[in-house]
Amino acid sequence: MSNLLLMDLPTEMLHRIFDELDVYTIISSVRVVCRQLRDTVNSYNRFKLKFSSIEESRLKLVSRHIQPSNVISLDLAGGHNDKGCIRVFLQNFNINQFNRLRSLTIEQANNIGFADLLSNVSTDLMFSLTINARILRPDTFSIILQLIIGTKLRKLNLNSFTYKPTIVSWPIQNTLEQLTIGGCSYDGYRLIVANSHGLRKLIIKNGLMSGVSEAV
Amino acid sequence: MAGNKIKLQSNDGDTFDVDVEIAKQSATIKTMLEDLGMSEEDDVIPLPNVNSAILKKVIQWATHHKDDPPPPEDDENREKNLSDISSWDQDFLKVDQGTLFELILAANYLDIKGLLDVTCKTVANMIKGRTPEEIRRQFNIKNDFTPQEEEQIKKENEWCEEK
Repeated sequence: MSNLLLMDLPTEMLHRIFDELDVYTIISSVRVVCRQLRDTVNSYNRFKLKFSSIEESRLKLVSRHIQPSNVISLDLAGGHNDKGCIRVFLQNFNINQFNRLRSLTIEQANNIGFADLLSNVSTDLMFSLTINARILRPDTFSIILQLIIGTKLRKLNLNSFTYKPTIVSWPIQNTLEQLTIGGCSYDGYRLIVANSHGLRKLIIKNGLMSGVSEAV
Repeated sequence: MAGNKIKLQSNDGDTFDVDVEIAKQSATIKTMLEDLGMSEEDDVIPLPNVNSAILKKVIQWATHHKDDPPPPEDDENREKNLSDISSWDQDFLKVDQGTLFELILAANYLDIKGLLDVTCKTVANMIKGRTPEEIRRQFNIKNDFTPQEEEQIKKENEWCEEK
């Protein structure tokens, strides 16, 4: 039996508990319990925003009380499908201000704002990028390749996308350690392996395909 | 070397004989043994931040989990799944709140990631889906906002729900 109370825990441990909570619970409930918890929420700097779990109306509350620089992970896949998750996000937040993002997940390349988001997102610290899109237009794929070249990205997940190197070659300057792709031609596979010196794990979900010449 | 034991001493003086491999689930103890060259045979490892009752619980947890695979290094983007607490852990953590918080502190001090994960998840489960007033009742927290601040908070929440 111990008399220790939740509020006796050091801030670091309360933050560790917040790691297990969704952002809306932290902002709408925990933050308004008492002054100490409000201050503890205000000093929390590793929010993980997952938009499929927040209703659009609630986004406004979240956007008013979270500093984008305190967000380390952004998941814009799923949810708000009728309007486009990315568009709803961009209406409430300025993507340029998310300067500590370590992980980004987005889906559907044809969503409004997709290229805009990818071009403007801060990639200084980003190590993980997931894009759930069956078809990536060459211009969109070029943006992703720019990200691979210009950043220290370690994990790239293009899990429904089939890579064929006919049009766009796989960049040699990359720091990828883990790569997941939907499918890949044999030529594509050879190119990826030859150009990715740090790669430790390569997952090709649907296996290798014969090297048919088709556009990316 | 299987079967080797070490002695762990709580801050109230009790000593526990523990298999080295079980004790090494604590990264803190592992470092003491491996990096600082402490001998496994004779030395007693003092744990000044952990009392006897909590140390006993920690050893019980580590013994049950001795064959678990090592936790993944990178779980930055893992799904927050609060229901993924095993039934053994759920039973193990049916303790009073004070003990639960002591276990969090001990898991943090001893650097036992699995125990820290499961204890923090358990507290998070006690928070999730509750209103601020329910959280206050759950954890015996006093509402120290001024009536003006309360009004402000209420307005903000209503404004956002309406839009």
